Amino acid sequence: MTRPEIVLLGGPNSGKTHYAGQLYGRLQHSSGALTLRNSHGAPDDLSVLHEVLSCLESGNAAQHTSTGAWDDVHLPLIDSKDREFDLNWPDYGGEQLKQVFTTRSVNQNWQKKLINANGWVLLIRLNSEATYPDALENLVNDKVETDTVRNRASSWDANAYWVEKLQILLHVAKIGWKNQIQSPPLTILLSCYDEIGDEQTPPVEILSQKLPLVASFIRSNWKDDEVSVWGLSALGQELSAESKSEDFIDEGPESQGWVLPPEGGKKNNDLTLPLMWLFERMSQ
Amino acid sequence: MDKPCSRADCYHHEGETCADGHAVVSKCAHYNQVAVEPEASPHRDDDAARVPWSGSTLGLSDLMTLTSRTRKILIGVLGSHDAGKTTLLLGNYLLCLRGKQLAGASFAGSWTLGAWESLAAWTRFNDASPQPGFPPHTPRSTERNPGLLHLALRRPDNSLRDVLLTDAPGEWFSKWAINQNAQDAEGARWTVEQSDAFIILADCQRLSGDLRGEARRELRQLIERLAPFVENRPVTSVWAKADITSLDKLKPGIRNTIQQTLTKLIPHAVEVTTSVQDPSNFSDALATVLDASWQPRRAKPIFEPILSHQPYAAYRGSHDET
Repeated sequence: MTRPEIVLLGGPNSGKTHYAGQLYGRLQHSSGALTLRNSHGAPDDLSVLHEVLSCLESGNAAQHTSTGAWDDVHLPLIDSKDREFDLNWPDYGGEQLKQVFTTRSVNQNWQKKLINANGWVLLIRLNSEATYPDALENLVNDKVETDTVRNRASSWDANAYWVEKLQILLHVAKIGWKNQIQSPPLTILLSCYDEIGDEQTPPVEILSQKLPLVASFIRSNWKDDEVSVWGLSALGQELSAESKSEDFIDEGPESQGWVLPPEGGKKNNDLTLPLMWLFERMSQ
Repeated sequence: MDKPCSRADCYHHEGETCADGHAVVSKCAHYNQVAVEPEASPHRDDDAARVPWSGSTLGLSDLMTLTSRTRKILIGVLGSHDAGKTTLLLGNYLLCLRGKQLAGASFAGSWTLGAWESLAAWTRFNDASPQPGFPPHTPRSTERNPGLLHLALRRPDNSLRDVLLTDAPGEWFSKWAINQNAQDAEGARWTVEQSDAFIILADCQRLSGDLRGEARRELRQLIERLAPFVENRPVTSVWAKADITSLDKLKPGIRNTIQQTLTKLIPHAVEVTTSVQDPSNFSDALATVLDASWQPRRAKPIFEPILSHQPYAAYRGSHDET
């Protein structure tokens, strides 16, 4: 049997790199629901993950990754019931995911990965998404037709941007949504969740508040059971290249960072949980 | 390689998928018929997977590829120039952006996000003192087909509908109202022929202004022109811009003649009032036509007329020749 594969999609600055590094740390120390599979020896080249982790060990943020560096990073995983999974880290920099939107195309290599993937992980950093929530009021309140073209917002609302991107990815992966999508299951990680400052509300509601159109697109097109929305703070706090955070140095990066489960409530230190959820869905 | 395909309805050279569905366009027979010298394009990966929509308004050839998946509902939005057609459409998109439901259905995608976004740009500002305006006038162009805006909507019973809204210049309909066969009313004729439902906009502001007599004539002409074509398709008449002049403030003579024309000629038409002050009523107009056309109407049952009360007469016999 071929092992299920998942792909991870995240734009630039979505916190992908730190999540990868922290995840790798957790997997190495076997502190979560998933661990690295050692039956085939050490996994392939993981130098890029080591690099991230060593930055974190000294309490600093990892540097922005160049596009090519993530070629073929893949993590062989195993869960407590000895089920085996492969996690394909994208050889897709965030910039390239952005290009999907601008060029309206996906290269063949990536198309193949999308088609073969049994599960998708989508990383969205809500606080860096530009929306225009007052557009409706503007239409309502001001009845003057202005003649100036100055200062008009030229970029798309993040809602439309993500919906279009998802539509393109789904189309390219040959997934129709005439009927609600059953496969691939989708995990949405709202990254840098510490920026939101609300850990009581379930993450899915935060998504509906911040990106209502995206939430609505996902709710109407995926089966309820096949989507989960998590809050993710890979570091638990903001680091910079020179921050030298003592929490990280003294207690180790694996003690930092948390996820907020879909139902909200209590933060959990096990960063592998969202992937575990995806694997559970894929094995059913 | 950006040479246009020999197939007229293929927009591969504009960055969309091959109309014949070839992933690698050089394998397409239509494409290979073109003898144009290919030019190197540094930006486009020839083998990259593309999508068949561009994000701008849909034209007629797009309809074939994109709307075959489910029942489509084409809504003709009719009204004279500046009656508020585009504002009505935009209002509905902005409601979707808020996560609001339209006609009990939630947003499930759109092939024309680019077009929606460029309309919405008129209400969005980056600077501190915003002075937004209504969407600009849709100019009449040489292109005969109206631009179609698309929204996919899904109801809780999982039924998906592709809703297409015409975003056409008002001049088309004014021309058509005056002369049914007018050269430049081709788009209006297409809209009227193909639509599954209609929204007619009455401009309250204009109906109460100095030109109210003319405005009334135009609107009546439009209703009278449309009436014979409507048959049993749902029609909603919208009193737009009611925030500027409310419906009660219209001169009774004007209001009554229009309402009477409507009741007489299109008795099943529903009236809705919209004003920009209460944005939720933008969706009311759309909801009334969507509700009426969400499910296809059943065919009328055939009744056998009773011609005589003799049971024997009900026997039609066998028409087999053998």
